[in-house]
Amino acid sequence: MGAEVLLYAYGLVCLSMLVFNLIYGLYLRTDDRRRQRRIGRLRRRMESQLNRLGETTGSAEQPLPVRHMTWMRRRLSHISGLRAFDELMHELHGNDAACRACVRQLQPVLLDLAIVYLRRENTQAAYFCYFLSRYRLRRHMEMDQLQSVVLSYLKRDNLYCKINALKALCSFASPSVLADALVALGEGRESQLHEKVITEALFSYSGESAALIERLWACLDRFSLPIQRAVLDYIRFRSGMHCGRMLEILTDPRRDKELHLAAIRYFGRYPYEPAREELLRLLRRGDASHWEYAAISASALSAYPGQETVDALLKAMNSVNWHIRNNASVSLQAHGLTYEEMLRVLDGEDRYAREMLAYRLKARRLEEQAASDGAQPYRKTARKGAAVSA
Amino acid sequence: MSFLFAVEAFFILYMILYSSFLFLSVAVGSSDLYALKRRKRLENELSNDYYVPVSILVPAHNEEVTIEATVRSLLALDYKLYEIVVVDDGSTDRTTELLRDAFQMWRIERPIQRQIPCQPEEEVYETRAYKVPITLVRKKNGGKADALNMGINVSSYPYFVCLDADSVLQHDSLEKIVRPVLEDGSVVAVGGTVRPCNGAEIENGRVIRYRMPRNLLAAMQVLEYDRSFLASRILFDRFNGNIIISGAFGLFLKSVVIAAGGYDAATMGEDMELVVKLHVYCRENGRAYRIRCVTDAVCWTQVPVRLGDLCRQRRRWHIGLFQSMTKYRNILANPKYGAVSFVSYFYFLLYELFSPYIEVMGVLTTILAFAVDLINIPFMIVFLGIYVAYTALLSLTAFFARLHTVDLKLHFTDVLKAVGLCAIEVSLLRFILAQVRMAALIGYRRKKDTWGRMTRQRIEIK
Repeated sequence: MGAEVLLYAYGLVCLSMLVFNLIYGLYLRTDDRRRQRRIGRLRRRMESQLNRLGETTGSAEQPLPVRHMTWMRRRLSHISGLRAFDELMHELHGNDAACRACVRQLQPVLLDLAIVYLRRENTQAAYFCYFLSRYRLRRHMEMDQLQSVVLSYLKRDNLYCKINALKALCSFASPSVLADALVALGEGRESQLHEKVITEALFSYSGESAALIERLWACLDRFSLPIQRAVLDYIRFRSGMHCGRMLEILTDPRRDKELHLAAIRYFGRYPYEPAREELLRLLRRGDASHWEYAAISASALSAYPGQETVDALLKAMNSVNWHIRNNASVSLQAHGLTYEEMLRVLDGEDRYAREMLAYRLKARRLEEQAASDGAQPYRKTARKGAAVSA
Repeated sequence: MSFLFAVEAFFILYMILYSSFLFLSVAVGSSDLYALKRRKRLENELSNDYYVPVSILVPAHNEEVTIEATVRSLLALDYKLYEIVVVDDGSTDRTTELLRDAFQMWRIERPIQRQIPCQPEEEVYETRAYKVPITLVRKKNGGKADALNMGINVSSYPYFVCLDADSVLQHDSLEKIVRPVLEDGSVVAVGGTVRPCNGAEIENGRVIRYRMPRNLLAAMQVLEYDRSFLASRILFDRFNGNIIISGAFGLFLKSVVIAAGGYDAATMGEDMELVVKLHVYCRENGRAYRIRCVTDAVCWTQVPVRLGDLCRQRRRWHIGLFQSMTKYRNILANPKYGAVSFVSYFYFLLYELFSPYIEVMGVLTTILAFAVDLINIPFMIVFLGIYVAYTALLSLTAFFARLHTVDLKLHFTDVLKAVGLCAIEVSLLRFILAQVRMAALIGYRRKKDTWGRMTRQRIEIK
């Protein structure tokens, strides 16, 4: 005896879970109806205010009545109310002038709500940040207090809360607050976050990107390594005006290898004559333990025409490393050499180089054929950040 | 007498541990699924287009019935940065011809970087006429693991997904399976959720109608899969202890797989072997790593509808389990492996590998106890009834947890079918499969490389 008592106890808990799941299933079936009712109530309250604001936008805006603000504060402090408001704004095309004016006037309510949701559990807190990021409070108002409260969300031990808070800050915060946010993000457990996520969040920054980039450069050494990589990627996709600083990074031996590689990619996108020598040096070095330098330099050199580059790339075709050969063959194509010419130059001495060139030739023909048949060429669908073979 | 008491104590302990594990896994799985659903409703997820480049590897051996539909379904995925690599592992049917003609593929001399040893390629075909590149490699037969190694060598991207040729990915499954990688850069492998597609109607990677399969054997496997994927793997995921990622659908970081040596072509359970190998490689080399599983990245696969096919499949799985467990036996009770050793490995050893033998020993001991009049038969029947009711209840709890997953709705007749079949699955099917697993290792050395054929059915994809 005893063992079956344990089974009874376990069974009872399972039965409770089963009943809970069934009740939850029924609840979900009626969830849509309840949400629509909530949206209807909000719409009735909001429409008259939006009409009033719509009539006065452009001239002196009429303030929202205090009674309405109090009602909104109470309503939106419930997560279901906030979701309903989110959907309503979406329905009403939240970006038109009246809606923007409404959100602007709701600023004190949002500040109160930010403090309310900061005390809530992680899922709700993350949703509040998501809500803020959607309604683009923009920089049409200085919301210093809200910025500092949202910064506190970044200190919570929850991944989604941090990401949504970062996106919210990208939508309305100043460059310096955003830099502080990136420092905070690199300190916690989420420092393992993939740099793509950070880079994408920075892309949503709605202010002046030049000012943001300046600030990011100034704080670069305060960021953790993954954040530094994400920042360099962001700069690569946003501006070609930072070649000098990138060259400093590339030639600084104290910097991490990943930062060097990010700098090499930058010079592939934005040709910079003073970087040519360094790229050629890295390609020629062909260090087996750091082959990535040579492989990515081979790609980057496609943007640096000249006999010296072509000679170095042709030599790289004899590399023992597959990636270096592959990238060099693609770059040689960019320099205008036909593969038939390249085959002649190589004179068939190196079987691996010959195979690689022959493959590139055929692959290009397949791409051209696909394009002439009206198929969407694959390369054009690939987004930024597509991996090179290396 | 004292022998029988010792046996009784062992079985009570064995059952208590097993019941506790099942209870814990279903409770944790169910609550995790509820939390996941809630997070989704409140937009707590990575929703942007973060395209981690992924190569989808499809090993195929005599798959002419399903391969075209599988590749077409892969072209319908909601993902931009991926490639499809089909490896025809020396098929004797028209697998290569069918693919070549259906997708206008051209023969090409492609230099293959042979980072992992595998059988040589015979022909390589490519096409660029679709939204993503498709590559077909025809190679000398070497088994599924060997075909996957070839796929890894051919692939261009840093992550790869392995996919069975008779499976279909849900339209958003790639996006979902890469999320753990974005959330944590130390993730080296992610297991998706595999669901039986018997009974499902799939259009453009979307399930437009799902009912429990009419075939009772397939319907019982639905209950079994729900219990396995929606429960125990979630529990193991809590402590980075998953040592199985189904070969039907999993994502891996290519560089780590190559460094660890790739798939072992000599093993029948290459999927489990690789995951255990990754644990060993990362721990021995002091690499911080995570092996995750996700419940919302779904792959639909055909489950056997004939008992013979099911028995052959389970025999293969059990041999694979045996090979992996014996190959990495140094994990057992090794503090360096933490929970992987003391929970995961121990669980698989005791409740998967040895369980058929222990169960048969239980039956024999019961007969012996009956012979010496040491058994209280009414109590034994009641106890057995309680145990069957309990495990059936667990299966149902896992089944109803699907409420928290996307795209699956409960229908009244499905509920009736699940309630009706759960006790049969737990008592009868489980017992039959225990016999199969017990017999699997008999003559294992002689037949260890024999996969056995499974009858394929055309997948209904619109």
